[in-house]
Amino acid sequence: MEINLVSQPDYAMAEVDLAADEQIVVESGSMAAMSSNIEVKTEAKGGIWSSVKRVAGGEGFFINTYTAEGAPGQIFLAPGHPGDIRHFKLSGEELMIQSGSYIASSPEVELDTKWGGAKTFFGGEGLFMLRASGPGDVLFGSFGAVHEVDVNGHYSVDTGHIVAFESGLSFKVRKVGGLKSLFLSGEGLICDFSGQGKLYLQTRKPASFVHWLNQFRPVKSSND
Amino acid sequence: MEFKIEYRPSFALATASLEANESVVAESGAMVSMSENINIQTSSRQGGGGFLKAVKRATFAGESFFLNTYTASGGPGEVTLAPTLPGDITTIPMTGSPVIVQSTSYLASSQGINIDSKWGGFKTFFGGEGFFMIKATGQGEMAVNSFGAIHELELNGPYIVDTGHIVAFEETLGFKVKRVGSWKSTFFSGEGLVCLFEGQGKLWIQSRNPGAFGKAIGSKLPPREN
Repeated sequence: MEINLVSQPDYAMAEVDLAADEQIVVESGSMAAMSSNIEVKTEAKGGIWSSVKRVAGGEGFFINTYTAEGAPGQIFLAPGHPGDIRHFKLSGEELMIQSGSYIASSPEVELDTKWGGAKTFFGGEGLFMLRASGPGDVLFGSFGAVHEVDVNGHYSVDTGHIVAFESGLSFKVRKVGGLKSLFLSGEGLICDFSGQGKLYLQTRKPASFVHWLNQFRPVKSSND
Repeated sequence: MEFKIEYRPSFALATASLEANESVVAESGAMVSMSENINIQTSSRQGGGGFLKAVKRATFAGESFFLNTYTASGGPGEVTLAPTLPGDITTIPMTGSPVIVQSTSYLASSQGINIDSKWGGFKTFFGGEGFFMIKATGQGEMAVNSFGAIHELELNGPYIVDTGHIVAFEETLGFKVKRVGSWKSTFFSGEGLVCLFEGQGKLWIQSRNPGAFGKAIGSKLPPREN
């Protein structure tokens, strides 16, 4: 498949050209447009997909498989929030991707939601880290711009700003004790990375945006 | 300390590069990432419990204004900072002349800048819009953010701005907040408050009004408990 990123950096889309009978796995809701000969299947394949579970909080991690039936086809993918998309080619290493940032991958990429550290990052926000192993192509998106950091030593990040990171990095998530005011969402989780590897951050945090919006909701009256 | 701004104009990120023992002050919640040798201290600068409590009652969600001081210890370090809403960040060089900043537009500033949230003139800007004005004085650099784009104006004579679009202005400008329309429309819709500026000075405005956007979406969401 050929992947072209368009409309970057603020409202990026991925233009994917599939050869005849080629497939791409896509997070449900991300398809913006496609050729008429592309077929969709939503199914839990055995093995790989048996580990994909509905995440607490109701938002499941659902996958669709798109196939260009009998002829080449084109599909445009767009994530939910405004921001950028990155294309990562896996070849031996693994990439950890924040579940809300995952957009699509080639069918041979394995996606694992059950690996040891998957749930430690987000303190019950319903997000988790997906482990992608190749070889193959992966597409992920950001809320805001993508800020790349080449970690060599130590680096600390607010967990809500993490999009993806190479598995060569070790990490430890901790609460920023006593400094609740540090994080508007009240979570106060920081991830300390160490080692060497690429780290992808997003310059806006969905949880902060949601928290900001909360003040504008109507207040429940006693009659409700 | 130097600010570097990237990813303008829609999802700007500010990187504060610190030399050993240098500090940057930033609004709490703005920190995206930092090098390992950064120490953090939280304070409600010049706030004092009394003032902040009053502000809490008056603003929509009780968002208090807290500042964190990030200090690089034992060597140089960096802190990256971002606001909540999509939009831009710009730096204002402070050379002694005070600048009044809308509270949600303040992002960060160098050590030599004093941030006063008890500034007397703030009350005139209230109207239930959910923000207040702070006063920045001193020398150094200040980073401010906008919802939407930042537009800088050089005023010379009277000028009117919807208060929700104000990012910051030099204190050399005289200002008077007026309502447009009835008090009811002012308080319940949040509309109708404008600021009349007079004299000479710089004014920074944002091309989108956060309160208007918040209300447009928030009003359609399920009700909240409090």
